Amino acid sequence: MNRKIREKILKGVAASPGIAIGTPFFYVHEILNISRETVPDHDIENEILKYKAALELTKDKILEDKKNASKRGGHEAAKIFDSHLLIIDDQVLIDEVIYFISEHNVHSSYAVSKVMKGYQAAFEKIQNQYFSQRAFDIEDVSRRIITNLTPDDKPGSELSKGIKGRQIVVSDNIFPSDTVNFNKDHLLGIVTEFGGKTSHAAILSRALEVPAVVGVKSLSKWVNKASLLIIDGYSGKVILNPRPSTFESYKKRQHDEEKQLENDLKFSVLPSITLDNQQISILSNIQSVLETDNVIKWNSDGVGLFRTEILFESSLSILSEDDQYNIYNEVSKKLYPKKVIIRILDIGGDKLNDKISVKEDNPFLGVRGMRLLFDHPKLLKSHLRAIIRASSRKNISIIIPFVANLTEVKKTKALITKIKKELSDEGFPFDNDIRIGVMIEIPSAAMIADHIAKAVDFFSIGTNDLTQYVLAADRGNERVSNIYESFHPAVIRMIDMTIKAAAKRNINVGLCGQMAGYPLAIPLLLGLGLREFSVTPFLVPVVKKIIRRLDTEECGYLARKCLKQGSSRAVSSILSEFFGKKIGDNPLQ
Amino acid sequence: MVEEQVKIINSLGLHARPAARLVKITSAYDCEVAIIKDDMEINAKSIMGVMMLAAEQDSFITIKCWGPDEENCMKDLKELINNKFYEE
Repeated sequence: MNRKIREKILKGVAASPGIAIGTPFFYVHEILNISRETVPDHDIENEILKYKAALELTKDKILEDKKNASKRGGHEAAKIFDSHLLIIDDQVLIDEVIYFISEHNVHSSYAVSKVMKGYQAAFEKIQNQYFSQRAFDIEDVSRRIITNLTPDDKPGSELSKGIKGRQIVVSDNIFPSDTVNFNKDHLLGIVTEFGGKTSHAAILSRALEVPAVVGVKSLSKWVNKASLLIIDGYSGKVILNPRPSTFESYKKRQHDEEKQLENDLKFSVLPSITLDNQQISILSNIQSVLETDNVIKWNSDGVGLFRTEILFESSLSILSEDDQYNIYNEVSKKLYPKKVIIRILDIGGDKLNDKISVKEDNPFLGVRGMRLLFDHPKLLKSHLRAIIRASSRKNISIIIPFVANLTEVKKTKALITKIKKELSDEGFPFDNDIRIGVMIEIPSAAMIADHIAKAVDFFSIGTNDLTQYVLAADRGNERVSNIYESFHPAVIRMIDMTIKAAAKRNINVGLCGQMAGYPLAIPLLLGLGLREFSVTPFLVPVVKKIIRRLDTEECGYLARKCLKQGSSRAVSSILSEFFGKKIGDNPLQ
Repeated sequence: MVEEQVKIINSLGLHARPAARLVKITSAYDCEVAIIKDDMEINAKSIMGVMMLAAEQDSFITIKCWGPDEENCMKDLKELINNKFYEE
């Protein structure tokens, strides 16, 4: 107790929302620092046999993990294991390890670690990101082999054994093979030193709905001195040895959240109707197959936005048509008869594969979404084919992202028609009436929504991008965060125009930006005529609770009043007042 | 020994899957196979080696085969690469 460090706050990337307070469990991948032990000549042969047996064992385990991953719908993870099998089967590598054992008279685990480390280092040096990331796979496979060479002593390999009750897992990084060890019963949260929003740790924690902060620089340097940790999955903060006042305030937030969650779950079984009996759809935004469980758990009406980018970013190579089909089909099957809107890959020039990305001065105004995909016809085609092939249950719709003009809509539609023809010639079953929608997220699209509405089956308003493009303020840039205002009248007018255009053509319109989950915004959006909200799965009951206390006609008055205002501040104050009256200060109880 | 320079034309380059296909061929032959790119030379029967070349689209690699069935092996490899690894 006496030489503990004081409160220390580290900053990382917020990867999964929520607050966790607890003791750290160090999930260490340290076994690669194997000490050198000599083996006498007469035992060399035995040592080699031991190594070969460990290879077989490892292979079996990888196959088992792959099977489990596929069963749970983790086609993404299953693919990673495929490449691990390729590594383990590499005959040249096997021979190298055997040679190392006999040449240097060493223990097989030392030989494996030495040889693999050499490869790892070589891959880390490669400039191309795809290839350099293979170093992680090598490390993962190497760790598994070594673990199987020392079956009695498995440091860190089985989380459930070492963890004391529920703890926060602290690690350098989370590898695919670790995934199977994680179980929500033991896990308060995850903090890692490396990784970003698309890392394995981030995907896993979102799917398990535990708070996570990743990419925390110099975590390992400080965390050993911590006996208590707080991770704030909203802001990306990690607090080591919190002082009493910090502890109390987080404890309170956490307590409120837990109560709320309990309450929410009870709420989620109730129908989502307003006081005047208007049925409202509350859909979910998801980005992996694993999250479909949360859609069901929170009793969401379906998926309003399936982001496909993470599938590509977290994958080892560009996903083939079949790989993608398996993923989309799994989501469709798991959620049937709920609807699933799949967004066409919306990658910017700053994202994804080195192969595809383009260097641009201003990527957010550059080659993004369809603009980029039209330049990669093969990728676009396999992507669309996979989505359409997965549509035979008739619960899938396609949404076109980042549309600025009608030409893009028509071009995409024509391509879809062509692909449908090809698929039917090839004998694939699919939904011939598959619905096609457009994301309204570029101001020009909102302005000509009446024209676009004639060409498509539905709209989804992406308020995050719409706001940043209307106000010319990057939402990730702290220096202009005061300009990025969700309640700016210009944003509200654009939403209004879009909803009106959709109503006139009698097509469906949803809203899938963060705004759909802001309590204050819900009465306004209802008043503007929105009947379909799409939010992070755990927010579904929160939205529902608010909706059940509102009357659409009253909200209509409110919306008209807001549309007349000249500033965000004026709108906010009207909304706060309304909210206070209708819902009370604490809407979430 | 036969030696030839080949251009990688598939869009992914020697990613995991194409590399696996290449190794499947080289492993089926008795001859030795090496691939050289820039100043790196690797054993083409190792997928790790092949990936380590980080050969992207439009890059050139030099293939060397030596052994009893070197001619056929070279022929198969060229066919694979020129047919974009039968993936596109």
